[in-house]
Amino acid sequence: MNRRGSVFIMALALLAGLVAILAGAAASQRLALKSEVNRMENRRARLLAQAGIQRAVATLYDFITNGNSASGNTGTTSSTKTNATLLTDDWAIAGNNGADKYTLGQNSYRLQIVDANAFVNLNAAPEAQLNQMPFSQQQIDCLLDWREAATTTSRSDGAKDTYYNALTNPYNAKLGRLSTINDLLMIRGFTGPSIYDVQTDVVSTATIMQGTNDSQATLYDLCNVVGYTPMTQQDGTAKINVNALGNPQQKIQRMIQAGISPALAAQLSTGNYPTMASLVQAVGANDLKTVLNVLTVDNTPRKEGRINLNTAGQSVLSTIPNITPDVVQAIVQRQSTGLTQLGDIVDIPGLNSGAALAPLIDYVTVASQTFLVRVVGTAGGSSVALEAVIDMQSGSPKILSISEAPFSDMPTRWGWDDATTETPITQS
Amino acid sequence: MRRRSRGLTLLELLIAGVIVGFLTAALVRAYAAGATYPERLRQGRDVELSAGSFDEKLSSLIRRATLSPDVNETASFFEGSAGGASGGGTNVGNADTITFTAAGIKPSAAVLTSQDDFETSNQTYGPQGGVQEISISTTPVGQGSASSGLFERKQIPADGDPTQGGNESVMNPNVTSISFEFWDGTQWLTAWDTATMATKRLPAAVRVTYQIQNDDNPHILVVQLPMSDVTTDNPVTQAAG
Repeated sequence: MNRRGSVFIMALALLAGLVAILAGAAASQRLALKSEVNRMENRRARLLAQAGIQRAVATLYDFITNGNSASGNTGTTSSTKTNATLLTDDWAIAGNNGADKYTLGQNSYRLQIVDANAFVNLNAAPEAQLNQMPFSQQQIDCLLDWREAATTTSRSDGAKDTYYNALTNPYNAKLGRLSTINDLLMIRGFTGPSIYDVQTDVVSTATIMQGTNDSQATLYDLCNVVGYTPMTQQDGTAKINVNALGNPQQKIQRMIQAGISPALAAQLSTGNYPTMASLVQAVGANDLKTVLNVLTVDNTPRKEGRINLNTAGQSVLSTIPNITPDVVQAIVQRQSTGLTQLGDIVDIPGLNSGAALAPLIDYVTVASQTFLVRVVGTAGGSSVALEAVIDMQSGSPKILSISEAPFSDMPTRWGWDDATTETPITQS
Repeated sequence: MRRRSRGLTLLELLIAGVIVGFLTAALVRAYAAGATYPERLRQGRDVELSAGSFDEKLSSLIRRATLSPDVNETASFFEGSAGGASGGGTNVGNADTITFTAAGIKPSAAVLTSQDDFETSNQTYGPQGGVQEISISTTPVGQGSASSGLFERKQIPADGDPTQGGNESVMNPNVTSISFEFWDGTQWLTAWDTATMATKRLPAAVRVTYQIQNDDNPHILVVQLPMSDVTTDNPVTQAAG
């Protein structure tokens, strides 16, 4: 037996043992590194999505304080800036419908800002409007029972505490507003698919509602839960409450100053108009425009649940009770130029009389204070989709909610264009 | 020239033996250490990860704090107080408990795609969506069992009673003490209660200081609340008294 040979073999065995240990350590280390990279990417994607929300907030703030940079609402003072919210505004074209990709190194975010009043507000929509939407009768009754304060009696297909308390996992009915669209999951008759997929068993006889991607609209496409519209005139001052108590002479004087003819001012100062519908029917066609621009019927400084004629899609406009498809079509056609004041509505074909306006005037607006921001942050293989609601009351932005969008294909569900342009985020 | 081979001296043999002994001992040690190295590496990572993910979990929970735009809503609050949940604005310094409402929590994919009807879904997954009430405290509201640490209590939907309800679980058993402070735009406060505020607002940020067992260093975490509108320019005006 060769002794030197045996030493060589022993050395080889030793080496093999050491290599095996090292290889094991390296494999586990690589795995750990990979999971760490994944975690980092996910955090980066989340941070980028949050940066996207901040960019949207900055865009909205700039729009509210300075108006548009190029055309449309120009000027920096309230006297030259309109209060309307249009699809041609800076905020609306920010992010270019998801096609702009803001890059930071290898990572990026994409964003879209949508007017919150381009949806049907589930906290404010009256029963007549819900009837025009893809709901079942049970869903309508239960939704109304859920948000209305009356505590005990439920509608025939509805549900109050007695029903919810008898569930396997019981709770009380909210009797208040929904905080996000997913609050519907708490309400009898609603499930995940009924919100995010097309509902088939519905009472509405309205024409098929077009959603994003040329399919039928889902509740997620049509509805949201918050959206405020300011009750202001063109110059930003509050509209005049035609029903206000107090000195009638002063009220007449204010109306005349705002551009209403003395005769009409005197006539309106004595009447009682519970709704805008009753008001528009009380004035002649020639006075409609001014009346709509400067008057309101109560003291509420801002209202919820108005649909913005400038930004709402065809399917959302179709939920207004008694609106005809022709009028919807005419409104949508007008959106490329937009209505800068509510009174401009009389320029739309078919809406130039009090009788024609009465069915819809209490459902609509041309201005908005609340915006929905959709954003996707991407880092490596991770992406995070967030939806934020931003309220711009009195010009200062406030994030009302941030929710994580529930699906991985949100850009498709939002109807985004493919990302085509890359804009590096630079320090300024 | 051919040398005559001669044996080794005892001294040489002893020296050789000692050297071989040392080498063998070193080798055995190296092998033993090497064999357990990946395992120790993994354990070390786990400790680091769980510390990091605890911080992350804590801040992501606190970041969710949301108040309803409806000022009259009772099931919408943010409270930080001492000695468990306050439930009535009896806050006195050094908050060791925060209780708040959070909206916008993503329901699980299983719920959103489930073909079950409403009742079956409730049975399988429990209440979904809705505003969540979240409480973080070292004092459990449940049975005063022997367990200690940091507790997390979640209730869906929030019911307007910040003192109880929902499911309580241990979030980190090694936390021995925790305190929360709240930034009101000008200073750190030791208590916060939206129930006693004229206008309900969230603190701009929450500073969390906690102590881990067998670790003398305090851990400090500052969490900014995105849904707060409190800033240095727009601080909370303290109500007189």
